[in-house]
Amino acid sequence: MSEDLSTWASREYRALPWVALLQHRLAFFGLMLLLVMVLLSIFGPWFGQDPDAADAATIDQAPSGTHLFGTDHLGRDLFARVLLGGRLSMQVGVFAILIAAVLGGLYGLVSGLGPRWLDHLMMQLLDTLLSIPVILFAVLIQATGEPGVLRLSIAIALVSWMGVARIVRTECQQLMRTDFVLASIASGSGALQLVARHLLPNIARPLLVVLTVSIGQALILEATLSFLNLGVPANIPSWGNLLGSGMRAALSGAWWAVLFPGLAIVLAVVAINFIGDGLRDAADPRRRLRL
Amino acid sequence: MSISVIEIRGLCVDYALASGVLRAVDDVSFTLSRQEVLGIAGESGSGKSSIALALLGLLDSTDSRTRGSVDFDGQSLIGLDEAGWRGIRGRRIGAVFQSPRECFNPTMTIGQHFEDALREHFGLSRQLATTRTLEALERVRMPRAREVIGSYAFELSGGMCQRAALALALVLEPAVLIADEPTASLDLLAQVDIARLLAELRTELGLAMLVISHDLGLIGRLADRVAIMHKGRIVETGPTVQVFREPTDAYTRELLAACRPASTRSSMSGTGATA
Amino acid sequence: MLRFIATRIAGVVPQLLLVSLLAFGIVKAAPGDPVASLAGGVEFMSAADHARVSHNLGLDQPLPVQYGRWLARMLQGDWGSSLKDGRPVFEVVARALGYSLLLVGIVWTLIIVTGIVLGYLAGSAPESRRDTVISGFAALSFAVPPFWLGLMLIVVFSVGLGLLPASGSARIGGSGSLIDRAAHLVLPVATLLLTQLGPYIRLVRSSVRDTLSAGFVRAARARGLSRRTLVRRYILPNALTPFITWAGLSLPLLISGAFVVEWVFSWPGLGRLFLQSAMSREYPFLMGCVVVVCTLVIAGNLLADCLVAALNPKLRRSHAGE
Ligand SMILES: Nc1ncnc2c1ncn2[C@@H]1O[C@H](COP(=O)(O)OP(=O)(O)OP(=O)(O)O)[C@@H](O)[C@H]1O
Ligand SMILES: [Mg+2]
Repeated sequence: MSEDLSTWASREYRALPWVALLQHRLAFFGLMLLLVMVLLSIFGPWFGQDPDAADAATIDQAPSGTHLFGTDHLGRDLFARVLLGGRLSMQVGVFAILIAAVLGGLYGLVSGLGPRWLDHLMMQLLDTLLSIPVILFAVLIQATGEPGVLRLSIAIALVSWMGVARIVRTECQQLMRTDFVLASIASGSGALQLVARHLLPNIARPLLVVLTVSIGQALILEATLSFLNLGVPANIPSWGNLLGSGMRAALSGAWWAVLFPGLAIVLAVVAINFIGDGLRDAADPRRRLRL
Repeated sequence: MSISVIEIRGLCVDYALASGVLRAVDDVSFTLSRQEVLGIAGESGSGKSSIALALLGLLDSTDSRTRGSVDFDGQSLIGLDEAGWRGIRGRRIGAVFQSPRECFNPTMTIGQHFEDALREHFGLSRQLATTRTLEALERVRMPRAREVIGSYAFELSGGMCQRAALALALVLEPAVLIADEPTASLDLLAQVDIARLLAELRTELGLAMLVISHDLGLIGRLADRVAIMHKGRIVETGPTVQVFREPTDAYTRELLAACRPASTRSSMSGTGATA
Repeated sequence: MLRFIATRIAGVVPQLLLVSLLAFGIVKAAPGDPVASLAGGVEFMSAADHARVSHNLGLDQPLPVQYGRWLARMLQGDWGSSLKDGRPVFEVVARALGYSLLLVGIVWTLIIVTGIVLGYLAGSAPESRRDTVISGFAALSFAVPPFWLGLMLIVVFSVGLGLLPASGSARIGGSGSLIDRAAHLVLPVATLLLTQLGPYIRLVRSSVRDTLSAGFVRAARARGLSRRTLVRRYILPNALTPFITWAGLSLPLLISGAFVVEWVFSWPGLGRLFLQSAMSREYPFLMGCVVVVCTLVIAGNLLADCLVAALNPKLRRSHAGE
């Protein structure tokens, strides 16, 4: 029985539903879209126009053949700046969620494996934290210090780890109740070691879904905070900063200054969410053929 | 005028699974005559419930397909519209399903279920509905019927839920009753009770019944004729006494042997009985 | 039932304390010298002045004492006043709260109605074209930053077409007519509604799908009930239970969105007050906003839980067994 369960678990892990994911039309579309965006923002700035070249002759120009997305109030090419901005925004998003994964993972482990009173206390704290609106929390963190990329990532992580903690805790507790863990504890092998060996396989899939979706939300949060001047320092282009500095131009008619950076965010988040949906659906036992 | 109320020809039911298509019912044909009780027996997963659901047009069209013909009183039920079904379901063909408690809405009292059904089919007011409900509950020998009307399903025992479900089906005075595993989820004593009740109701009301069960004891006790199912097909059919006494099909013999130790005439035997 | 509510309320007390502690703690941990910023910078103040002002503000006391005093004053309704211009915090926050409640209240009502309708339409016909369109909208809604949609709506409807006002709650110097006020609400409400609706639709959709496959719905259909009865008495009451819980749980999300939208549209609510105070380091306002917002959220969750309990016959009947 215990042997069955552990092999079952690790088989599930190895068979992470890549195939199903690629068959999922939307997820495939999302994956491709994201890939294109990532490649463009990594390599684009090397080949295209100089994102920092100001030019008094081309201030606030509408999109055209030479400037696909138009130019900003200093005459810089917005297409190049959106690509460059994507670099930073995606970096911040991924980095923040990695920190959140570690934070949430540790919190969930302690809560899930610790004594009942501690678990109760920690869950109470988690619920309370969840009742604080994310923007409020993040702004408080950001407003108490100088803006910076690292600080922003940490701030986003600090408001994003709760989902991970929940999943890890639940899985830990479920795992601790299974026969084979109980049996191995009874026979004297370390619970922690067991958890390390069996937790990851069980948890990989739901965790992946949550982390994927969180990256999308982190992108939105980055944009929001930077837009409010509480995120990335204003001189570094990120999608949020582009929107923040484009706002004034847009209010006097230069709509392209806010349309394109915003569309970039929406596309990236949609792509990420589609991948998340694909991961979730691939794990759904109710998934069906179409008749 | 034919004496068959239900006539099914070439019924097939396919389900879509992640891995492919499952044919749960494979080319099944049978007829049910007036006042007759037909038993459908077979192991778990042989497609018995699927037949009942297909007959009532209750299969989900997004993940299943039904083929074949189903006639009720000479009228085809295939392709019936929503309004047409309303005159058939409940009113002409009543049904009780496998797990009786799950068949009641958890946010409504037992009485409210009767009220809805009586209002929609007979246009009865609340007071009249309550009277009818009481009668129906008493007919199925429900203990403390008056109290049960105001109770929720989770407050009743399994046997009481099954009685309430039966009463709810019978209160609309259908011509045919489909009973899918009417005793499966009950304890032994309640099983005997419900089996006895069904037998009594049958003689009292002159209903035609389709009794679906893996419990050969129940079928033997109630059914005039029996159809044995295996992997979606009917492998043998005939008068119950004859099929039980001289089975011609190998699978039927196997099935019967599995519950030989208890008498096939007793309602207490089941496929789960050990040798 | 009563016992359930009592335990639930008892659980709220530590939550509220924690929130106040957090608000106080984060604000206290902030760098920057509030005393010095009063005078426009340390260099404009003598050390003695500095110490005197600190003392007057109670800023020289140990932190637990400061917290205790702050809490006691908060409970008495004395929320202090602005460090800069002396505006009383309680009044300013209360006025802003009114505006926020108006905005959030309208959006919440609209979200609940449209969320249920669209979610039901999608969930009752899974995989149909209708479902695809609605689910697609939900997915998009989830991916659009509220402030950006707000900007785009301003660019199109205010700057471009000149149809609707882009900021404030009423025309400055105007008579404050109802139509004028309503016009100022259109864009913020639309922005918030469109960007928040996604999760609500998704939730209703999936719980309608689950309910549709429940045994009691199948049994009710087998009884030949009309579609209307089926939906109103069997499907919705069951499918909406998780929705009520979610309507409470999602309040923080909605408020997050509202904060940013208020900022974009210069709507004089709590969000704008909070963000302005964050930028100008007005501690008392920050604390006031945090406490008000979190209390509202906790109260909303409490209400939702009690409503769910009241609608759940199992819990409603449980007092009999005590
Ligand atoms: N909605 C469904 N989707 C997919 N497969 C289904 C569905 N309903 C039933 N099946 C499959 O169809 C087969 C027949 O199911 P059915 O419920 O008709 O059997 P049964 O004879 O009633 O079994 P039991 O005695 O357990 O009730 C089973 O293999 C079952 O797994
Ligand atoms: Mg069955």
